[in-house]
Amino acid sequence: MAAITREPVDVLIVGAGASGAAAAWRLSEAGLDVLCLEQGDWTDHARAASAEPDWEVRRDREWNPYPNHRKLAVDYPINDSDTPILPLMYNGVGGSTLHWGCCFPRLHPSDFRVRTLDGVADDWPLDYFELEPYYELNDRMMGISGIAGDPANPRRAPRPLPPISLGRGAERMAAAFDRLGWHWWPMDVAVNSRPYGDDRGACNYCGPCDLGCPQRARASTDVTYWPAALGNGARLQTSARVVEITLDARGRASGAQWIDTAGNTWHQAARVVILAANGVGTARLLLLSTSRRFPDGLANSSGLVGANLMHHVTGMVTGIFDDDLEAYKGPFAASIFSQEFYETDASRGTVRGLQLMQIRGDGPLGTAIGRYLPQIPWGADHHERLLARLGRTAALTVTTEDLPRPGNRVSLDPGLVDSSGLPCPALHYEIDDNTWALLGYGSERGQEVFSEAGAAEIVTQRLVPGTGFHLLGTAKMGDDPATSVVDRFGQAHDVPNLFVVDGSTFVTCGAVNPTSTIQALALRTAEHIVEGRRALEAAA
Amino acid sequence: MRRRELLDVVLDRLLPPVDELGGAGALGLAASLDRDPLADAAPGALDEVLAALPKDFLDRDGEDQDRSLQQIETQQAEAFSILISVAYNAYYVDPRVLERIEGRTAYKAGPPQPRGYEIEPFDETLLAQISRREPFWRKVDP
Repeated sequence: MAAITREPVDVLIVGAGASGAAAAWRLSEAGLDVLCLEQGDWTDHARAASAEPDWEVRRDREWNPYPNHRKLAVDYPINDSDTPILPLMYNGVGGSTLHWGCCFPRLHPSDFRVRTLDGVADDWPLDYFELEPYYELNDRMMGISGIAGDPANPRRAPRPLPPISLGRGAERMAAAFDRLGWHWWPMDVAVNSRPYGDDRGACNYCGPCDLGCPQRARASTDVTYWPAALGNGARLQTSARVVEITLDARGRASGAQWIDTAGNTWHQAARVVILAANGVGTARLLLLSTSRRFPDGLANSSGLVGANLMHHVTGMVTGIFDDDLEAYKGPFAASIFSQEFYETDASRGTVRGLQLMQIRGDGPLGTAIGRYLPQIPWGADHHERLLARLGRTAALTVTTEDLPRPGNRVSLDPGLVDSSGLPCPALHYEIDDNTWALLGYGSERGQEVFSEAGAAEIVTQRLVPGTGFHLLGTAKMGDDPATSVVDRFGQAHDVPNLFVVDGSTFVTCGAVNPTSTIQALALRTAEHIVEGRRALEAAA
Repeated sequence: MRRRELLDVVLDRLLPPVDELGGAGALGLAASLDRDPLADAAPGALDEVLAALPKDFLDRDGEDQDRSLQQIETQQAEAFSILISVAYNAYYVDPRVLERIEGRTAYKAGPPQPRGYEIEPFDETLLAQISRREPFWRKVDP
């Protein structure tokens, strides 16, 4: 069936999550005609799962972060039989920020220079200080709670909002870090400690940020960037699944073909196309967009589209305390972190480092079922054991540098299709020795600090499989077209009017949560496109 | 009839009475087990557990019943784990159960929103020691 064609726009963005929203705002702010295609839909925060009596059950159903388990029509299945990590993501306006822990650390200056400093992977083609103004702008747009002065990171501007309350567990752990002489600091988080913006309230410490936020205190991009972008005149087409990026006779991107939920095929013409579909979705779309000019996938002359998948492999150490920490109070991942072991230390026998980050506790069902701890056994002692654990836990995630390896990659699985019949991605991923050693070292340090804090019992999981939230590296950034997919501005080497703004472009991933860096890069790319507007007009 | 009776007794052994609260079977939670999507996804799992129970299960005393269940937990681990998951799912969304927990802890029964919790505000004096530390991030040549 012939596609229904639509008038060209200046910029077409694929994906309405963290990066697509940021780019849409900046571009529309500059007066460009922006349209975003998103396969999911809007979320009604007033009807969030966190406001339902069975909220803990829903966490394992339609709000499960694992699309293969969730199986919503807007999701695409992922073949993950060749990886120990479960890929996690969410499709909708806001993308995975609808489902996140809201942690907002930044990469360190050293993360951009790992080849120079440590002889591994590659340096980024930009440095921390080039990105810093965009980090700051993004912090203001998202509304970040925190406090400046962290000695583990370069100085940053006063945070837009004061820190979120730590609660008993983090206060206990902070004192233990102090006694050990180890770094700790309140995490910058995208959760309002006070009302922020026109209609976003303050956090009321309910706990499950991953289940939606009727207060609009949690900064998903559907409540931060999108209202501003739409106010600027940007347009957002939901329930639009992009099939391929199309090309003109000169080999430039001409737009995208997409299908709606009724099965109609559309073609949206555009002068510039931006991919913002995360490190799996963007690679998938590029690999699906084959042509005579690009038989191995669009923008893939380097052969690196899909390669170098990075996740941040994560371990977890949990302390169970005798006294009540009321650990179910407060945003589950907004707490404190330690970057004492962030940098390379030759005495450890590893390169690069790790971050320890505290998370709060579960509700009764999560505690009983053992989301992150062994299940509470059934039987006569069940109730007593539940009360001995509920609210009495604190956990530290061990997030490690995850150095890129070409064999860790996204490919297409033609035998697995989504609800529209499109081939789905397959992930191939192995944990390398360095990462495994970092996980072990971090777990031991976690045990040490819990012991110092007086935990009655310490449970260690060196690897937590269900933590593949971070999907990075599959359209690597670099100056050399032979060894990278996009340039320092996210512009495809092979297709000059095609940009990538999601985590695909990461050269390395550091040991911190990536969203603030993803969005800062997206703002920088958008700025670059705005500055190149004359060229855009010439192209038109 | 027998299936429901069996399920009630099994649930009472898994999640027994406590304080003034009846066991999960006595609370009438058996009916909701089959409606759990987990049970849907593993059709027959609950019946597999029930079929593995000794014929005189209902006539045995509690400790004997527990031993039978422990044996099934070992020998038919997958089906039994489905039973545990759906039983816990049903039990821990029941308002009577959550109210009991609320009576023993600071946990609030009912959904987290819109009530939320009160927490002491951030105490900046906690930073007294770490704030004195000199910046130690690794410097990089431009």
